[in-house]
Amino acid sequence: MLLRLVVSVLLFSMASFCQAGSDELKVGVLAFRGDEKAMHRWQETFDYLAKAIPGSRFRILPMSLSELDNAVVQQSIDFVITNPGQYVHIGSKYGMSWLATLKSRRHDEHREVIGSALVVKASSPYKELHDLKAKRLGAVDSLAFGGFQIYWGEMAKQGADPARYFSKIDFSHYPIDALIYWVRDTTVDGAIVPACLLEKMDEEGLIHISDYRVLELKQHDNFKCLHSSQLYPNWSFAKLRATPPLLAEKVAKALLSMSADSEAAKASASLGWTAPVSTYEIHQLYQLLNIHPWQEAWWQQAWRWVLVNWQWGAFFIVVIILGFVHHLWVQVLVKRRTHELHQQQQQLEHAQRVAILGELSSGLAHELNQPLAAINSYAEGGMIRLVKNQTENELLSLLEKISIEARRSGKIIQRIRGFAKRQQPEKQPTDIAQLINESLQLLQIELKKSDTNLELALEQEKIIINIDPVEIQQVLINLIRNSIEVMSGTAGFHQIIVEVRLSRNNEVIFRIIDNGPGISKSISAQNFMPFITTKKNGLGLGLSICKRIIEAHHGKIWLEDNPEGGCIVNFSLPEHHE
Amino acid sequence: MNKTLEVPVYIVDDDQSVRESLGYLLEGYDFKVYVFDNGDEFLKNTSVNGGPGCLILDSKMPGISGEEVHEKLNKIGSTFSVIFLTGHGDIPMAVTAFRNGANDFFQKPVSAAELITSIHKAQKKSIFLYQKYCNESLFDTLSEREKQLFFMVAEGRINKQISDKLCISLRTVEVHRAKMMEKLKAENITDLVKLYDSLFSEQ
Repeated sequence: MLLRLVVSVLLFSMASFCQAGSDELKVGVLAFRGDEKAMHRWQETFDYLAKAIPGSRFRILPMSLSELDNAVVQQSIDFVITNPGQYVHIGSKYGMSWLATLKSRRHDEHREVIGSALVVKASSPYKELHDLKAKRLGAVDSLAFGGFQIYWGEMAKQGADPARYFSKIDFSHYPIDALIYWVRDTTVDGAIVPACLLEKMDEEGLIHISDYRVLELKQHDNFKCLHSSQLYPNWSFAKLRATPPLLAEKVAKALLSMSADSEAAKASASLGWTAPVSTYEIHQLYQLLNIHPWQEAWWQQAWRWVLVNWQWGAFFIVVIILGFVHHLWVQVLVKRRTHELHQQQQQLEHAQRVAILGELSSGLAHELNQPLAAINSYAEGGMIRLVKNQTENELLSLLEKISIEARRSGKIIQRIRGFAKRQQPEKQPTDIAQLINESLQLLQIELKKSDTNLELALEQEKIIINIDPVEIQQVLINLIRNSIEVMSGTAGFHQIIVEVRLSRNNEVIFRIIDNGPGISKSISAQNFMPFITTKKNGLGLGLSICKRIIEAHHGKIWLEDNPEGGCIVNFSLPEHHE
Repeated sequence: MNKTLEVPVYIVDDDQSVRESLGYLLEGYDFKVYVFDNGDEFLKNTSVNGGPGCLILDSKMPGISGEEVHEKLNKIGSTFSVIFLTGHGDIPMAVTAFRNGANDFFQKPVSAAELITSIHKAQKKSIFLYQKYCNESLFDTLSEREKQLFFMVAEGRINKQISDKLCISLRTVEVHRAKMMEKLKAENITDLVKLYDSLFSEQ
């Protein structure tokens, strides 16, 4: 980095010194093994070109992949020496053109000399790609041609995706020698490097090639390096769109006429230059990898299709709009129906409450009769005493007794009205013990008539939860009446226990335990379905309404067999507040 | 004992205010009132043929029901008369009650006048029943021969006829007759006929 800075400052100062004649031509070169090596490799070539084209001066700018991309986009350079991958990647978008392709010295003029090698440490147990599955991999850069994309292509042909195949991919960026050291130090388990890197570093004495192995070896005639992939054309010399054609022509001529023995050719590890080769295979590779620069995003393709086939496009847009409108309309209908259904359910609940009261009416009338009878007796008893002039000292307590009895009948009427009154469900903090007692008051006569003993077992004196009291009362009355009715068919002692306790997660569990004949097996699965009943006169709505009410309170309701004979109906209500 | 007001009135009802208010009402009419909150309590604490009595019964009560109390009284052969006063009566219940010999059957609330009239009747009947019960007890103390004599005397036969019929001496007839009259606490022939009527003419 520091070196690159020094070099560019040096070059810059030199350029400003020699400002006199024609403009300096800038050449971007890919410095994949570091700036120094890049300068060393190409300096002779540009000295040669400067000599061959009178009045021209060249400045070499070693660059990384992204720096070179930027330079092309901004057109801040005149020529480029790079691998064909980058040429296709950026060049085809920004109007670059090949002038000449390098002839490889190492591989006897073989033109396809760029490939990838999958390198592992010689001492490692890995024998093939498969052994590296879910291991750590090193590579140069996601945009590097030999250092990643070529081997990616090999894997893609086998249907594998490196991003998922390996546990992790670390990118070293330039200079790429680092990758080999990573393999040596087992920072990574394997690395994708450009073919011939191992051989070059071995020749330079940096490593011993025998310490490493290349997996998935491929054979190509005249190609001397270990490699794991198909081969692609060698580096080429390209001009940018703005570079004057005449100048390009001169450069091309000079390059093509460079002798294989020249210093320039030797320094660049080549036998000189030849006519540019085809980039066909590279286009193919990029298409396979789905990263071709000309590839359009799906919406661009769709838009282009729409522009060409606008009638169809308009038709589809209309269909989509109609579909959307239809969707909205269906939503409105669903909402409306849901609301109606909800109202119907409430009406049904209310109707069932009224029906219960109807069935309880004779009992309720009796209950109402008691205080009325008492009032009558007190009143007539008072009258006879008045007639006999015996009442002066008793009158006050007598009237008090009458008043107490009148209030008692008022309470009964209130209870009935509260239960039958039409109302929207409304949750409020409710004392469970009080609610159960109110329910039992309504059922008092039923219990008496059927000779049923009802026991109340509250785990805690005061349990207050947020519920709709009328609805839960309806559930309690339904369930207790069910037990009473079921037991009335059997002889013997009739017992119902209403138990309330708290569960560990603060739910309030209600249990209505009877000693009746138990649950009929054929019905038990359908017990909460409407219109399923074992009663002669029942509609089968009771339990299904209970289920609906409990579920609307986010609770559960379930049946159990009483091990001592009979049935246990359980329901739970969430959220208990102290 | 002939004064009906002396005949005690028993009230059995599980509803406290009903039985207390009824008690209050009846005491206003100078009845001797006893209240019980269940049938067992009443049966345990009352001598049901130790004298006349009027029982006002509720039908549905926890434990033993009003109908069951009535049945038990009948089984014992009680001389009490029974009035049903129920909150939820119906025709079958009323029919059963009357078949079992109830005096009356009321639905709550009942007017004092009706109830008082009914209680008076019931008391009279109970007095009669008790009388009959006492007479039966007296009759049962007679020997077979005395019983034969009792029927003949009640039918109006004179001693001579009796001695002929039974083939015993006139003297023996006179001795038996005196003994029988003494056992039955009858002063004269009129008392004896009254006793006969109370025992046999009713049926």
